[in-house]
Amino acid sequence: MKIDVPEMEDKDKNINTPAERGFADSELVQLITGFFRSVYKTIVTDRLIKILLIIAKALAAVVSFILFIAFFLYLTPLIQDSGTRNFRPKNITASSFENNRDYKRQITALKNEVQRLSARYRSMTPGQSYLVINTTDNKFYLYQNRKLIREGYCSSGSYTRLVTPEGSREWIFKTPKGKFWIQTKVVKPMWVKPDWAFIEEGLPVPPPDDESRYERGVLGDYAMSIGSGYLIHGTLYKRFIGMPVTHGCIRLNDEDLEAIFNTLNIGSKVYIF
Amino acid sequence: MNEKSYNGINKSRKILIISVSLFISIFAVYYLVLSVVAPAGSIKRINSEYGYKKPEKGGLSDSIFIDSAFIMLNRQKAFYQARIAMASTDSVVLSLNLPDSTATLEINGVTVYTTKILSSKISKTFRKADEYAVTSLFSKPFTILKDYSSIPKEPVVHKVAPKDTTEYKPEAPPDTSKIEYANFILETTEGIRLYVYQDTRGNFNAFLNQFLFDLADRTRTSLYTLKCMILFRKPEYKPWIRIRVPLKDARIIYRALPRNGQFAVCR
Repeated sequence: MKIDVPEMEDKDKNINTPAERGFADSELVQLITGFFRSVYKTIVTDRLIKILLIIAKALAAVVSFILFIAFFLYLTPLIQDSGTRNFRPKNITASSFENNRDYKRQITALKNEVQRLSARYRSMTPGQSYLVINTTDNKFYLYQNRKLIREGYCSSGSYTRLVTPEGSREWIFKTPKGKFWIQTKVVKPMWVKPDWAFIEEGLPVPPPDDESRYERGVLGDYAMSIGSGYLIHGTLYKRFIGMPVTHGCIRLNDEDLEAIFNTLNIGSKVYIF
Repeated sequence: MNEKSYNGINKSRKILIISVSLFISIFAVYYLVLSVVAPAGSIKRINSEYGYKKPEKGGLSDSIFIDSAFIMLNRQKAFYQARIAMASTDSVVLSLNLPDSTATLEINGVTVYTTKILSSKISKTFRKADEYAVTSLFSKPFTILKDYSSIPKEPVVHKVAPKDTTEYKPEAPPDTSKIEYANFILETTEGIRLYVYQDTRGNFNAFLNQFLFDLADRTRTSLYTLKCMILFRKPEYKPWIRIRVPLKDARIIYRALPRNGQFAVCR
């Protein structure tokens, strides 16, 4: 790098007076600014352009890569099959170029078949009362004569996997999904605590008929069994209603539990999803 | 001499660039051709497997297959047939009525949950294939073989029981404020793909989640096609149905359906 420094004349070499020194100072300033100007010029003209070129090349590479990937991921599927939102068939009537009697016969037969299937499908919904449980939203819907008569919040399984400290036993507390029916109805139910109820609290597991397994009042005023040990019952912890906190049973608040208990009979369907 | 060697380097670099570009172009064209050709195989399969086989005596006349009244009635019939077949099980199933824009969860023929389909799109394969064959395909429920989802099927929380009462802590209420963005794809044994995406309007996080989920699926499909290219095999094309449902409903539908559940579609 060459720096242009103006050559000093002989008369400037011995400077003593302040005025003369001032002149020399301005020369020095010129020298320094000249140096920085040339440095700046070199950086701007050479390095910066080089840096900009590198950035431009990198950007071009990135853009090409993105376009290449977009071709595979987005453009090809679009060319392959862009899909359609139009489901309706073209409005054509075959009767215009078909034996009219045959056409009518075939269409009538198909109409009757559709009606028969529709009636068969509708008959699957029970006319009596039934209960629907939504375990994702923790809501229940009570139906009678195919009409919704009550809805509200409930609590369902917490999806907790409880493992013993030794890892020898485990339980998943989830509410089963599908179709069930009321198998038994009990007033003032008593809870027979299973093993996990003790293990969960760090208590030793008592023998099957031990007194400590029987607890009254914790299941509310009513309970309905839907099989495999799962119950629809009340709770002491009403603030948790609407949350997934149970061990698989369905918990309801007192008023909803009473209404459901009085509406559903033994054999009534319970649909859980 | 220097100029000569410089020219030589320049020339070899040019050749390299040209050959790489040519290779990439051929590769891209080959990929494109393979991808575009694939749906034709799927149409052929649907037509041959589900097309109308005319009995020796009687049967339907040929011209009725293009009649719009016949087509609509036949589609309705197929939808009922699929739903009745699904109702024979006690598990949760999904019914999609695309013309009515409704998605319903059903158990044993009883509608337990209904939601609005905000938008839907079906593969052009279903339009290009024979109408009767597609309706026959849709007259049986689709059985889920595999699913891809942005949320777990069961939100299981692991907990080790306390060793004694001193370690026991009463359970705190679960945090229900956490939002789960649900998008999922169901692949069926019949080679159909159902995309259920949630509505993302006005929600950037939901949009980002869906974009990444969709990108992952596209990458998976592209890698599969690339694998087929390398093995000189024709990739299998899976006709699709895409629906968009309200944000919370995608989660409800996904969690409600069992792993190998069923769904039926009405076009």
